[in-house]
Amino acid sequence: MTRIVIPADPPETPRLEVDPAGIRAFAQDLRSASAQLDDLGGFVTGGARIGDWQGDDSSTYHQTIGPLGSRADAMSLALRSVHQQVDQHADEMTQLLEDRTDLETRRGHAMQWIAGLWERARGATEDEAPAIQADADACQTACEELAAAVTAWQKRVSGSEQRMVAAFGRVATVEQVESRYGGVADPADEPLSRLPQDGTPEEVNAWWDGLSRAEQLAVISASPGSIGNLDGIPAWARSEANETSMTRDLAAWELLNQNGTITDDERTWLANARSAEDALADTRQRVDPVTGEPLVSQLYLYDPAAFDGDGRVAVSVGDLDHADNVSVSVPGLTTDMSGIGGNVTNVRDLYDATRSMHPDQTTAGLAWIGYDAPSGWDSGSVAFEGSATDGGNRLADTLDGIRASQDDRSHLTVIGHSYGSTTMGHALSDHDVDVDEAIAIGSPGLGANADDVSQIDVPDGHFFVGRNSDDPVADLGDKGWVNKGDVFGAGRGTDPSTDDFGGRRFEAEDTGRGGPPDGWVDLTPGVPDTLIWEHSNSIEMHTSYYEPDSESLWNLSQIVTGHTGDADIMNADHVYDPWYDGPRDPEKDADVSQPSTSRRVP
Amino acid sequence: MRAVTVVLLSLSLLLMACGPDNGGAGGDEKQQADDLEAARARVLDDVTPVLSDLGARLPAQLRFSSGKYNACKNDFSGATAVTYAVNGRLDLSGAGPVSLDAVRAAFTDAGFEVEDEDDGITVAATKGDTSATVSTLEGEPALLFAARDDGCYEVGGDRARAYSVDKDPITLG
Amino acid sequence: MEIVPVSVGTASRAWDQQNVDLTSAAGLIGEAGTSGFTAAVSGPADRFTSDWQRFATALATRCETQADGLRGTIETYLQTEFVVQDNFGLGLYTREQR
Repeated sequence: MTRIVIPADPPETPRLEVDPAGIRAFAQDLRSASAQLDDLGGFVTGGARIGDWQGDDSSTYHQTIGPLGSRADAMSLALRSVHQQVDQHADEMTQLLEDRTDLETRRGHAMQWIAGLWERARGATEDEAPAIQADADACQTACEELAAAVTAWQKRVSGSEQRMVAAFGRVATVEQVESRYGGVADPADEPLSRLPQDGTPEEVNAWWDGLSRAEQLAVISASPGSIGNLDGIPAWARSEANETSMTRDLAAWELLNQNGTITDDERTWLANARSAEDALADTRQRVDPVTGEPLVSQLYLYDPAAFDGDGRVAVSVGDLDHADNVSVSVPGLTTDMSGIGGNVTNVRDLYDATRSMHPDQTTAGLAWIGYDAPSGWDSGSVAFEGSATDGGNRLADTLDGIRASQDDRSHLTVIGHSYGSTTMGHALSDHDVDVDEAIAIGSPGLGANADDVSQIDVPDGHFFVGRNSDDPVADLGDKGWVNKGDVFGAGRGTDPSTDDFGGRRFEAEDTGRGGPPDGWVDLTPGVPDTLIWEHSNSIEMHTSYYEPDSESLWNLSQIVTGHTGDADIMNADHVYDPWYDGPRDPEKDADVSQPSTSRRVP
Repeated sequence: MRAVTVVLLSLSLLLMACGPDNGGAGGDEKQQADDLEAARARVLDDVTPVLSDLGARLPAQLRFSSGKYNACKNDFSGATAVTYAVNGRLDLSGAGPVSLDAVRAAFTDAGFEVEDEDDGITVAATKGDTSATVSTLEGEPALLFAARDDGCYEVGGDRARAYSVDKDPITLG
Repeated sequence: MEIVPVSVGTASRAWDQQNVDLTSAAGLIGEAGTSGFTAAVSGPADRFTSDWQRFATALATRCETQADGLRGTIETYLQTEFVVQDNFGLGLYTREQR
């Protein structure tokens, strides 16, 4: 009778009931409250002082407010210290959850190993026994190592919990706060004093990179408004700063809204802030189509009161700091901050398509409403280039900022839709920018300074145009010699899909092409309607460029991921204007395909 | 023609600003919601047996699946009509190259018609209104799958956001 | 009798705004969700947010006290015989807006 010692089942790693995302949200609330307290401290030494008031009452007042400001500063620092520990605790818990998964996988393998040993041992002969025992010994060693790893894991869990509880306990009373942080200089003050005023993105980035991690975190907490929209600061830091501001704004304006003392302006800003919050939350609920991990979303721009309440905002889908490919989408007509959700949906569709078509590359897209786009009832202003020129300045700054803040250069694409392409045109023609690709979709023209590709700052052969032949807005640009001149001034220069412009046109037809115009009422039953309208000119033909499984999104995804060879793109013929007739669009008669944007491209 | 275009564009903007909700009356909304839910159920019913079959054949484990409502019609404010789509990933237990023959067989056994076109990395198949693909991943022992309904269902601009993500609609045995 | 300049009125409004901001900060702390923590941490976290909501609320109250004090100074000043005419609209600041 041969005796083989087979190891017992290894211990299970205890369940870890924790939600790191919830812990991060808790940390964010503390950080925003800390920033609010810091503002009070600043107010007491600044705006609260009344220099032209003399006398006893004035003296009493100024003596009273001093301690109040000191208390606020101490509380701000205390809360910030807790925030940092909470943030670290969230990181640790995230890692512990991942490690638990690994430990349980190892345990599963060990259990299979043990089951196999029992199977082999059951029918083993004397000769086979030593080999099985050797294997069992190896399994025993693996099980012991696993048990030790589980024990170590449990110690890390309890260590992290103890550090967190201790951080709460260190500032549990006002006396502890005063004792620990009273009179302590804010570690953000000195770094902020060295922030380059009106510096270039490169100078700003050099300043940021020169700060320690602790100083960077202190600046984000103490003065989120200083860096949240500052080009040259990395996207992760801008996002943390802007979310701190957004959380604080939402809390204040929601309170005023409940109290009934909110002003009309504040109500508009509140709606803008809510739109940004929703866009971030919606994106973070979704998962990457390759890894299944929650999507990263960064609040790259946040200024809900800008442009008389239209607001200024940019939200990413993906990590702008580290993605292989970065795209910036510039929307056009009827765009203000409240419309960020729809624009982020477009960018999310682009993200999903690029990841599914090229899973080996990482991507990030930015929905950018950083200029005063014509919106609502001021859409009449589309006839003027002023907003596009100003927007072009701002877009060029954003593109420079992305370039300056990345450690590794990404493949950068700018996409202008509708009048956003005019803004893009100004960024590319009025400034030196460093993009790899530029794409105009549904474009009424790239503006007064861009009659052809030679006038825009894009590498040769890397300016692309997507134009649905039925798109009424894309129909507005100048085409050839017969058709010069804008009707009502609605066009914005040369139609970039024309042969004269010199861009590369890709197929972007919509399967819904050729339907009746919007609001069409058939007053002539029996007469073929297509005798009455040449194109449908439906606005849906202008708003479908990002739709999944469309020619347009497929081509956009190819370009954004750098697949720009002739064979990589679904090439389309240009619009041309023969001398004997009006402009012609060969795509009008082309077949419309539905390429899958969710399958890998060879 | 240009003048007509501008007039139509202005008319479109006016209709969007003043017109009734694209979603239509309450009864229509319910019917549209029911149709969309039926499409969702149909896609999941069609694709789940394929994934289960692959799980056993290869063998493979479902790493994640994610359901969503893709826009198929938009206006300036966002989606006005959507279709249901689901995608996800199967992680393969064994090492070595993946044979797409198993994928074709799983589709065929589940009643799908497999496309003839073969690019060596993806198998595409259809069953009624459901279109599906399964692609290999380069350098990783895994398959990505995607399926969608070919219909397009009106939801109206004000209801589009209500169709939030259905994160894990598929579970295998 | 010292003159009370209009800047005292604007300062009282600014203190009102600080009161609003600190009250909202107190709300942020008090409503910060602790359910993401493990059971060992969520209890101390609840206690922490409860205490700190109280601290921040106390600070907000002190801001409001400053605003009320300045308003009181203005009212007293306007009631003295020294002031025959409110040329600078100081009286507007005796009413609390928020």
